[in-house]
Amino acid sequence: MMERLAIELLAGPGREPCADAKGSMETPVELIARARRGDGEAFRLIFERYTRPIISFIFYMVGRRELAEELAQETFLRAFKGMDALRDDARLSTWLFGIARNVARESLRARGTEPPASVNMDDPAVTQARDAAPTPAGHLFGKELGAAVGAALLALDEDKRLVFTLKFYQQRNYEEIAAITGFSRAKVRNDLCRARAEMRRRLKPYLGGDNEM
Amino acid sequence: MKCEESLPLVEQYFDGELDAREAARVEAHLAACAACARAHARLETERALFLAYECDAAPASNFWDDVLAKTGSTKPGAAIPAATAPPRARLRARLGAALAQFAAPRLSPALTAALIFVAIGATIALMKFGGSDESARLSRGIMSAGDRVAQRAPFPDTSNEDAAAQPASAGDADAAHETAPSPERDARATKRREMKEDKSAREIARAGGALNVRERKKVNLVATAGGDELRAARRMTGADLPAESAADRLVREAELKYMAAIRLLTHDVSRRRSRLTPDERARFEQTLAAVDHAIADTRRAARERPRDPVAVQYMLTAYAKKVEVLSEMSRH
Repeated sequence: MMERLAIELLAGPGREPCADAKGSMETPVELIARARRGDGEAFRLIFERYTRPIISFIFYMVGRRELAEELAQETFLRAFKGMDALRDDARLSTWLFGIARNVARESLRARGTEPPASVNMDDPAVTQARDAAPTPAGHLFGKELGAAVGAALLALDEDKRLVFTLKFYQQRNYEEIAAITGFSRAKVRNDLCRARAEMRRRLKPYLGGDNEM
Repeated sequence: MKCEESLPLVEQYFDGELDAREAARVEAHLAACAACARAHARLETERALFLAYECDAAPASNFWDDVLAKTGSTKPGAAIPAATAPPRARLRARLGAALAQFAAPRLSPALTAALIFVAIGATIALMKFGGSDESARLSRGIMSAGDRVAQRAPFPDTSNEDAAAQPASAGDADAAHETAPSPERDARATKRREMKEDKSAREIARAGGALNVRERKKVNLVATAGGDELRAARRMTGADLPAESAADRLVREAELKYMAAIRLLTHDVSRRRSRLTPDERARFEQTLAAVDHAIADTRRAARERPRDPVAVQYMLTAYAKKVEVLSEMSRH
């Protein structure tokens, strides 16, 4: 397991374990071993790289930025407690996103089955769309568009929203989505197809033209 | 390929999820069919739209401070907080966590059985017969059985094994020797014991699968060259030590037997080290360092609580782990 986790650390985007260890010559194997023994700093060095992806993932699932950050902390706390139980053949990011999925799901169920009716357009986390026209109208349109996409996403049922979020906002392939969600590949494919169709229908005014498939 | 066949596959093609053969078929169809090509182009427009809903995922500056603060009082695998557990439970939790991380595979059945026998014998003696007359009888029985599985070795200390593996009372050896009442009888007994131990060490190595025929011959040469340190340590296990219970002696014997096996394997591993890849070497070195820490911790605990069979068992288990790791290294 140590070798697999060490490879994940080394293969990560632009982060060298030695540099992360603040100039020490600690190897990824040593870092992981320390984290499994309860060393909080070692745990942070390993998992800090996942902070933004986890916050982002949870945000798209629950629709609230502040809540997403709280739930992200809960995710890392559970990961810290559960490192001893991490299977030897598990991939670190898949395992961590699985925890985040559970945390988000529990939060949604605790808040009730109905998703929020709309996204708060004044929520600073709902950034404006990338728009070539920096006019006030364009800015408003961008905000409105972002809010519309957010609302359409939150209107999806939990499974479709999960698959859709992992596909579009985490750039995962079907196999990775299946591993994180526990769904079969066929279910991932079907749920993604249906999620796209629903999003297409709800955002039809923004897509314009002939967008029937 | 017709449109009704292509259209359901366009999304998977767009996602890069088709195998090479099917992707080529869809691609060829898209090149020839405007309607399907438009459907494919719309997927790109949709993706751009979906990504318009961005999230500022930058965490608060104190995010990780908060996470670590919440983890501060709980550690993975530790069910009992250190401050509140009874001493034995704390020892068990600490040592269990230290030993649980080692991933070295199992020893050969013969060597495993031999080492388990030694460890169980020492622990049983400590639990049941510490200081009693029966302990002498039991320890004689256990030790003769231990001789049969061959646990002693006279090899010199050719490794860089850390001082933690040394018995705490090694310094008593010379004093014990000087008080021997019959030098000639003692020398004959020592010689007989050494011959048995030579044989024992080779049997350990064979049981662990560590040595081939040529290597065993070399080890024999090393064995006959002498091992002052081990012999001195061995002397303290004899009847010369006054006021030492048979249980204590048995535990010390068990410890020496493990150390002897460790010395033998360490000698072999040191010659094979260059055959390991850097990753393998790093992995083993890291594991060995952790094992040595565990040995130091468990020895300290066993010295503080010599009548605690749990502490003794953990110490012997830590030694067994080192043997296990070294055996695995020597098989690479």
